[in-house]
Amino acid sequence: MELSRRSFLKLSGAGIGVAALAQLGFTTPAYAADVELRIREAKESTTVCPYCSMGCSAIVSVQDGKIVGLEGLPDSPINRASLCSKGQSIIQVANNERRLKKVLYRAPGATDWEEKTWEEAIPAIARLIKDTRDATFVETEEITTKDATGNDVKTEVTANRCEGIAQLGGAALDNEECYLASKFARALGLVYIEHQARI
Amino acid sequence: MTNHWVDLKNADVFMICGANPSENHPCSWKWLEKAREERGAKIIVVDPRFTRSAARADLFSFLRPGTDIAFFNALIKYAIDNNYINWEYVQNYTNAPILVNPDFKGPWELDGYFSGYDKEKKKYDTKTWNYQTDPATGEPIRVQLIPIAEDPTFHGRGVPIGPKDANGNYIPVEWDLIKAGRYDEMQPTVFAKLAKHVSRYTYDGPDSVVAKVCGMDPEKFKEIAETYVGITHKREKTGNLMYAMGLTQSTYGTEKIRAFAILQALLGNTGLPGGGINALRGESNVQGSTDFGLLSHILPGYISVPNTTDHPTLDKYLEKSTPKAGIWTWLPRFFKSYLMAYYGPYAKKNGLDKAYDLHPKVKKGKNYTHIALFEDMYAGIIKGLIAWGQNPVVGGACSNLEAAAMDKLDWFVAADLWETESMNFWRRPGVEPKDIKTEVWVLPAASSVEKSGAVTNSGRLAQYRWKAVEPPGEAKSDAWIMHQLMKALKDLYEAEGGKNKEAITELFWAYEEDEHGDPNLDQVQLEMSGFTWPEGDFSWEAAFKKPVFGFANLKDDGSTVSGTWIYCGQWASDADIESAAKILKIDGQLPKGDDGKVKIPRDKQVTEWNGIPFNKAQWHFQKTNVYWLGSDGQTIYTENPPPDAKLIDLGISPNWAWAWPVNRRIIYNRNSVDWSGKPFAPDKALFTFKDDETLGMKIDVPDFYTQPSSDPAFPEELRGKATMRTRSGATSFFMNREPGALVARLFSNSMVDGPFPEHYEPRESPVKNMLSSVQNNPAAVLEWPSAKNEPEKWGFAEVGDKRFPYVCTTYRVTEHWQAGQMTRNNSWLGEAMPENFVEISKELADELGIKNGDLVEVESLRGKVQGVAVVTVRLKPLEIGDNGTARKIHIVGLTWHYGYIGLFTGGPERNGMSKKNYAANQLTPHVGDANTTIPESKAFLVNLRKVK
Ligand code: SF4
Repeated sequence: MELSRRSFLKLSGAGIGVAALAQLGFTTPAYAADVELRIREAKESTTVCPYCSMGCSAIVSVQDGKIVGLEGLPDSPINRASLCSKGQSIIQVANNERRLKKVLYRAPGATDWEEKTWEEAIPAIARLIKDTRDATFVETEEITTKDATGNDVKTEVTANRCEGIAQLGGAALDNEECYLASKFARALGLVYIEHQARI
Repeated sequence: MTNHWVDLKNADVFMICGANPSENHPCSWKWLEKAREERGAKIIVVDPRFTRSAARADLFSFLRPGTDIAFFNALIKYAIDNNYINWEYVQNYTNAPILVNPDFKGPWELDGYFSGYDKEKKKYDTKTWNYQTDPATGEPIRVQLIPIAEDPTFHGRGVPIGPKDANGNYIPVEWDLIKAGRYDEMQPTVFAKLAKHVSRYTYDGPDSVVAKVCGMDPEKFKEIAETYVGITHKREKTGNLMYAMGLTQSTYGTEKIRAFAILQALLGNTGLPGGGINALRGESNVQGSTDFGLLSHILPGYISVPNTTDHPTLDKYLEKSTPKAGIWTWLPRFFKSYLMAYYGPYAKKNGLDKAYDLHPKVKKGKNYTHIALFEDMYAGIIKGLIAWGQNPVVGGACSNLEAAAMDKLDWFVAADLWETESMNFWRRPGVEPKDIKTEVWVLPAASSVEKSGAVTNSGRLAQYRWKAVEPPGEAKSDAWIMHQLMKALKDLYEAEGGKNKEAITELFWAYEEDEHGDPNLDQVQLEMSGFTWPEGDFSWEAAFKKPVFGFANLKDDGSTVSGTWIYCGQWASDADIESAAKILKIDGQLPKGDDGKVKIPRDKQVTEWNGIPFNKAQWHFQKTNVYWLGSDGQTIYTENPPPDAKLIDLGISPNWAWAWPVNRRIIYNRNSVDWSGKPFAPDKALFTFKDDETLGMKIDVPDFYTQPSSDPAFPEELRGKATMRTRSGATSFFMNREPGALVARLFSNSMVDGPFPEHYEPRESPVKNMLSSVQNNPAAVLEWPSAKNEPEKWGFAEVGDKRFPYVCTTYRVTEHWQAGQMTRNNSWLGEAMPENFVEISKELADELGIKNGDLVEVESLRGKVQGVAVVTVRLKPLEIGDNGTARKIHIVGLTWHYGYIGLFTGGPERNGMSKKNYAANQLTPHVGDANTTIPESKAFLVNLRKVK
């Protein structure tokens, strides 16, 4: 499949009427970029801005595995090709020497990081989680309720919560990851689950 | 947002309060300009600072930080005093006409308290905050606030029959009493109580509340009120509230939003295009992360978390949590489908009750929110912390305390794109790393262009984005990290056992992996959306054959799965997509599977389909109907429009991505149509009702019951008595829960701090509360343990504290984002906004001998930060009342993006760490809203001095 909407529109000229696009909710025709572009060799895909909550879309141009261009997506009814200074600079998130590239570890009391591998990190972290979870887990607790005559009744009920571990974050994740983060945390029994929406 | 971004173009007046969209949501501003161009819309900004949004507004007023309720209540009073009310809306779609329990008392009688306050427990008993009910039906009693031709089935509802005043507004039955301010003599309706409540919020002259409390010019107030209230109460006009953390970061933040929601209901602005209550959320997916339950009080889909006291068993949970009316009567379907998503195979064997036992239950009444979490960490209760892209040492309130709490952790695991202040908390300025025994793991994560997945914007629109490049070095997506960790945990618990072992070993986590170990996100999406559990052994292939299209089709018998019911139906069929392609005339080009049928590629392959969101989890075909408005401004044409008719273009774009719930773009949209079925605003009509119980026009997905009375789903007891129109009109806010009152609530018992919004002072304030002797919100926790135990470190300034004479407020700039890790490592943005700065007025600068560009230090009781002085006219001293005398107060403005690490730290240092502090949140107090515990970061007291 080599066809994209833009290239298709370019090929078909006026073949797609504005009326047809309007039925799809596009109130402007797509912009057929038929000038020779500097990024003509690049492969395009679309993205959504990771900054504010408007959800502006952009076209990402990739050549040789590297992002070489990024521009606002004219087809998005939300931003109609515009991007603010942050959206425009998404390219610097991907192409940035300061990005973390390795797992880092800081031992208790250490003054700097050491590099580690994922093969070391995943089992070590799973072990930390399990030990803390099992040590701080509340399996059952006593609750007090009233019986029909208004007297206090004490019962032992399952709580199954872990009070020793907290999880933060989510607003920078994708929906699928948020869903998994929620499932991950609640399977562990966490109750201190919070993210940026609260602050 | 009740509405969405493009819908801003349909507004007639904007009120921007506690938000600065021109700066922080820059691309939104084009839609405000469009409304201005095409509809002559007016833009009002009310803010402590003359912001970039203010610079583009028609009307602007300063306001003292934290006094929004006083301002909003005065607007409500203005609407009542001038009879600027959309009475038809108020009579039919709100609880204003309902009689209130005679035992209810308000702050006007109880000196700042509502009835039911327990001074020991510092809590309200809300039992008097309710209605008078009809003993025969058990339903609340509604009366006629205006004369109506009453519907025989739905009492207190119907078509107004006049008379009208000179402005064309219906004259209320008790207008003489209202005019004379004799509210006590009125029937004890919600409306009469509200009128009495807001009567204290005066706006006339220099001694009024708006002048003395808010520091506003009363003449400017009237201009603003006449524009917002005077215009948008009209049937065909809509006003739009845009707000953000400027309102919510407060000890009474939720009540601020309620105050405005009340005003919007009185003006008839909610549910209409261009109207609504629009929270401009800060992060690209803070909507999604909330939707998926990443908060301590809600599960995915806003289902409340179970607690041990009320919900020891599944039956008890459903019994206590399912209301008698409204959409939440379906809770059993939503909750059981959620449990199936977590423990499907286990539940099939052992039953859902057992699956429910595995699920965590909180302790009733215990607060687990951000502030409480860090308090408990500081107290040594929390030993381990996992952070997915969050940086509390910059973003958290009272961040010196939050960093000190982290010192007590055994371990901290942080996944992020960058080194953040939080992962380096053990070497922050002023601490010795060797003293901090915390083990820290830093996991390099993939950025948004290095993985595929959807994000949900502020308008509830889930948009998919595709992986463009590989992550750098060994970085992995967060989904990969969670998946690998869960697999490792499952193995550990299988091998060793452990507490509540089945919760982990039996967790339904059957996602297939690709060769890199990434979980199959199609499978995750299908599970989030929903499917019918296959017969026999589970297989994804069978599950994919039975997606559930919409939450109405979920079952309460454990036969369906839906991880997040509000997203149910987001998974589209290939047929949906084919229909869309037909319209574009590209269906012949659609890729086919082996069986010759259309098979839409997704994920990585789909980059071939750029420009069209061809993704099953967001692409739905829904024919966009086209309608026209005749030149009389009233007649709507569904076909054959005359040449002078205009296309009704509301910018709904239903096929662009997918909005929850069920792709509805404007929620509460039954309220855009009056009782008789006519759109309030014909030029932005969403629906019309026909006599045959069908809809005439339909631009959005209805947010109401659409079954005609002949439909089997139509309630038996209403048969012959109601129609689709009257039934939907009588329940126009069916997300609410009270039988007989599925309407907008101007009076509510679901707040912990009062059924009406009342003004209190921020926790730290320069003055005493002028409205009552109650200084602070009495239902908020005003002193957490940190402040109680170490008041000299984490406590609060006194009222009018001479040591901290200025009011400080925090905010953001376009070039940076939140806690800064995503922008301070970016040279373009960093160069544009390189250092922390402190905004002060010319008057304060003159008093303190500070010049533009001087280095200054801002100090609160809890910390000190430095920044470059920006002497500006954007801030000005406000004249307010203090114990009967006038007093000038100064306001200091501070951005909160900076920290101590990054390409740009906040000071002159580059590309590394700083020894100084630049994070504004080091100053903010550890105290939060009574309902949500969102910290009060927008109004606190500081001192200021010149460093050099
Ligand atoms: S480009 Fe700017 S306005 Fe658009 S989503 Fe990104 S940050 Fe927001």
